[in-house]
Amino acid sequence: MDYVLQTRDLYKKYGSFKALDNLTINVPKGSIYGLVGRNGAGKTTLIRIVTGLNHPSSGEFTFYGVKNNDGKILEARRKMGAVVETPSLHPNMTARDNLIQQTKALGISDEKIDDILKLVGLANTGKKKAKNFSLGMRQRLGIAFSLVGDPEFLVLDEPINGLDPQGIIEVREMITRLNQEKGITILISSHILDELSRLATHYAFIERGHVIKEMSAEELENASRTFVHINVNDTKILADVLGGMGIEFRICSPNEADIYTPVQVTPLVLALNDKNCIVNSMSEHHESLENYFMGLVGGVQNG
Amino acid sequence: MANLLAEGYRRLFKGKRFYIVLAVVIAISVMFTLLYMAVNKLAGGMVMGEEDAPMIPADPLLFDNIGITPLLVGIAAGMLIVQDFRNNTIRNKIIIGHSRVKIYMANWIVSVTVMVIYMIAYLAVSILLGAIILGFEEFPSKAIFINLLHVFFIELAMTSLIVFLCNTMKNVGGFVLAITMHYIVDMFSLSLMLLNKHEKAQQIIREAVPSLQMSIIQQNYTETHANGVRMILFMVAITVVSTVAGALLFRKSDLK
Repeated sequence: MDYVLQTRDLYKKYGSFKALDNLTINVPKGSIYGLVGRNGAGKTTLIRIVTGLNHPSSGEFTFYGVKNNDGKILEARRKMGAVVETPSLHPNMTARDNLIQQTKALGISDEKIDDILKLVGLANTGKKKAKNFSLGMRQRLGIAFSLVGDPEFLVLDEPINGLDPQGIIEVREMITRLNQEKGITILISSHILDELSRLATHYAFIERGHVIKEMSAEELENASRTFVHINVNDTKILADVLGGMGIEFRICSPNEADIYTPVQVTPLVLALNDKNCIVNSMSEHHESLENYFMGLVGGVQNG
Repeated sequence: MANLLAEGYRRLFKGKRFYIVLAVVIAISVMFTLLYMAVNKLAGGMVMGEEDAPMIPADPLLFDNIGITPLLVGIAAGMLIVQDFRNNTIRNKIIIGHSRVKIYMANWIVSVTVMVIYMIAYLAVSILLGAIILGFEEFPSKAIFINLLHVFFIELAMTSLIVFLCNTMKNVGGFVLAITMHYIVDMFSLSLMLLNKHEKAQQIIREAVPSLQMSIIQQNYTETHANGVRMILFMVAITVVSTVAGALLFRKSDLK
């Protein structure tokens, strides 16, 4: 498999705080690689190091086969576009002027700017300055900035932060289009795991600066447990019954619970019926990315 | 480097600040000319025969901007650098593979360009208005040209320090320190009196500190200075050391 980015034992310390601890990831070419982790897990630090904003304390990474301490890394970075945390914009310029500024820095013509503005939905902003843009518009302009140089590798740190539902759908569709139509490899971090699960083809689960699991979406699908979601009139009675049967479960609300151990439905319903607990509905589900992540992190914390 | 310069110049010339400060530079020249004219009129009125009255010629006008130029360069160019950090737009250049040393040097070149434009604008207006309204006594003379060249090196050193402070501190604090450093040094220059028993040391400090060199030039602009070459070498050294140190510090630093 071809890898666009591979990190090896990346370590980063800020004072006494260990932000990255021997972090290793492998980003396959053509993938949408999702970084999953809590606040402060090290996702943004990793992105800052990969984009050249920060230097690793130790460890190394290769980008398109070029090591980070090789002089050619600067040339390789021409293939990269990135939005790190907040979009980096010139507030007193229009969207078009902002992108022209980036074409100057890249030394390319500005003929594709209108197409990029159309792609991110900012073609009609006219003379409105970036400082007067909504958060969603700024986010989209940030993505447009990263697309100016026709990148082969795109780094998006929390790209849907502050977007409304419509904006989230648009950005999701745009990311998918960039990946599928232009073949751009995308490294993306997001707190909204449900959204990430709709996009990513590969995942790295990061906790305390360390990758605790790296897997493809296919592997995640296989590893995720199925569970039965049950709605009853009294979860206290449900908990007693399930506990008595030695079944693993999680109470979600006063009326809802998830049952993880495979269970025969008839004996369970009869046992609940005997205790006047009425089952309103039952349905089978796949464990969400969020649940899988919580299971992983919990495992690490208990370990 | 050419791309970074194109980006920097576009940002400079697209903003209003550069032009506002340029207008201030011209206004300062006009104001000094009018002030000298008013003083001359006043002096003429106080002395019985107007021909005997001591008149201020236009020559000192050419050096009146020395102290204020770093402040104005700081406002236009220093703020341009700091804003690049504040808006995080500096990231856009690093991510696409520009080396930090080149980014620093591009900032330095853009800042020096600002300084040269402001100096030329001031001198052009001063020479024009000075010749029309006041009249020159010495200018054009070899000594004045040499001193103007000397001023260029002082301003170059000051501009390099502005770039160093703004690029190293990366915030408004760096900008404020950059535009006030001349006045801070001026205040502390009084402490040189403590070295009254060490004349040689006193002289070397006066010659090595840009702000103090400015005073030396302004006090005597009609003659070349005995240690002029050494004084210029001090300014070149400040320019080189601050630029190399600034670029190296920037290369090692982590950005937001």
